[in-house]
Amino acid sequence: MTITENAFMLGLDSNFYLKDDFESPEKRTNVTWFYPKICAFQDALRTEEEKAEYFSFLDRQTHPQQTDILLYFHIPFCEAFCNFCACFKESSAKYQGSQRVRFVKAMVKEIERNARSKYFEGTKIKYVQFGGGTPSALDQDSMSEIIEAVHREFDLSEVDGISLEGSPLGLSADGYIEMLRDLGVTRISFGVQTLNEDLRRKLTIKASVEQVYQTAENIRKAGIKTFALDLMYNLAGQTDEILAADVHGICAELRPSFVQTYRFNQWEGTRLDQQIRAGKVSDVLPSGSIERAQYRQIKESLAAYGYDKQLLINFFTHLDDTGPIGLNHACGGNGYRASYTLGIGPAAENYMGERSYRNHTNVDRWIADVENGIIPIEQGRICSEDEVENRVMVFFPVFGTVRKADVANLEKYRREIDWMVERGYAVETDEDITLTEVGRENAGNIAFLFYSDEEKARARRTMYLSLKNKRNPFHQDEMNIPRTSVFMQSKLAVRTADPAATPTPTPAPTPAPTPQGS
Amino acid sequence: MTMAGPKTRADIEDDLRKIAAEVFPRHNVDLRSDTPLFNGGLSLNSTQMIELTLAFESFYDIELEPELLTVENFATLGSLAELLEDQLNDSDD
Repeated sequence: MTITENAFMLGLDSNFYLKDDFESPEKRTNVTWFYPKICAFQDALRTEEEKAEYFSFLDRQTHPQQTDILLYFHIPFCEAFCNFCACFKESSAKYQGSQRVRFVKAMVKEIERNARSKYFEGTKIKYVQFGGGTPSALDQDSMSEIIEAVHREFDLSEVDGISLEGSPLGLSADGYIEMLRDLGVTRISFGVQTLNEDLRRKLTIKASVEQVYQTAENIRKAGIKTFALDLMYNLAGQTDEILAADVHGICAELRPSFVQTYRFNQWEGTRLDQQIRAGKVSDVLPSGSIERAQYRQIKESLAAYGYDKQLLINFFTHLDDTGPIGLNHACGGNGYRASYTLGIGPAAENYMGERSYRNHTNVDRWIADVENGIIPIEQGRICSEDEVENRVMVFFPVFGTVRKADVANLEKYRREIDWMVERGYAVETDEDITLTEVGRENAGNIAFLFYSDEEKARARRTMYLSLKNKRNPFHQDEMNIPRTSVFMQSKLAVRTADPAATPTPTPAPTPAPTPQGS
Repeated sequence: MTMAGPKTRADIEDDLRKIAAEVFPRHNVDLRSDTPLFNGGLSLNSTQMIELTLAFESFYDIELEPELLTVENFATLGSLAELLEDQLNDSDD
């Protein structure tokens, strides 16, 4: 069985790079999409005074002209829940009628609060992204009200594009895609995951294969410039033959501009994880070694269908000229090219220079705070110079290469760079450092080489405090909390956190790329 | 836990062996003082490290300061026992 690895796990060992099991299939971890990380407990903004001081920069300064800024809008609703998904989400059915109206009004109010601050005076937005959840789970009127507010309040005169993640369930509604196009959306993506009916049923993916094909056709017909599809691998029961059929269906029939591949992560606490642990999934189980073999299979077969250009670690295209699609702002919008990200909506994460902060995930709390004129954010930190500097190298494995000229203090990483080159994970030239194929296969681990020891220590404390307070240790929300050993449960249940030391945490997932609404 | 007197480091190591066996029944490792808890040895991942922490906190009825979750303190069974010896002695004071 695959025990889920993640970016925190390797932080146990500050000398991990010296170990022989760097490439162990069960030790490979996901690449980092958001850094520096935030902790609900260590980075709490406890009082309104603290918050006011923290956010005073919005009215004190303007955005530095030399850096790009991306707007990220988080729509935390889904029409249906896939059983493998560990992201925080709410049922869209729960937020209908007056609740939906309140949510949209709050989104518009947050757009206005930020856009009208001194910080955004004269600031030209470089890219706009809608993620979730499933943004297309919002009805047309609601979505258009939000997008219109973005156009009205922010300067999009030089925007490279507007991107939206969706699901065939919402996107197949009459006129939805045309509405998005008319409001300037230039790129749509949605999750296919697999085209195998049996697997889709087991993963509780609600959209039918027919809806997948129809939606792809509708996107093309509407004239949306680019669209991207997600493909998952290493799923339970996904044999090499099924994976080959998935790649064929996506590349030869659906023919998107981009294919985004996601390895299956068995996140502890998801419904699928529980089923696997209970022995209810009897097919081929996901494993680290299968994952590695299927990653190679995917790369080879994508290339055979013409998708031979790898733009990010998991992002492939057949296009020679991709146009502006926001890749410069990858990594949840804060790629190593120093983009800033303003995140609006429950659970959105922000990176504004040295400030890294996270919005409430609890949707009701987020709405209530906005309605009451309270900044709907409970955690924020001012990152150290070291962390800001490390971002370039932490994110470089996502891109596969880094220009030396972009690294402020290259020699600081000399030991790690030499080690990567010696081990055959990277090639260094006068101009850049580029991962080899085997380096790309271990990109997550390589990213972790560039975390500072303090960052690793923070990660351990985050996990400890989260589990102790019964929160998801990664996103700190209330979903998918890892099981607690039976003999400890009663003990932990009676232990109440000291409210002064451990304030009510804001559950908050990152906007990190994950398989999208299916 | 019933405290008959101050715990020695050897006592604490014995406690930790029992706790580890209960929390990680599949990790069939002969735990000696110098057995690493991570790479090699018990081969814990970070979630398991926290599980172990919560388990011995519960066993001894103590709470560790998050700052003590260091690689050095959790390097081996012996180093963890040393940390706990300090903690238990402090709590007895």
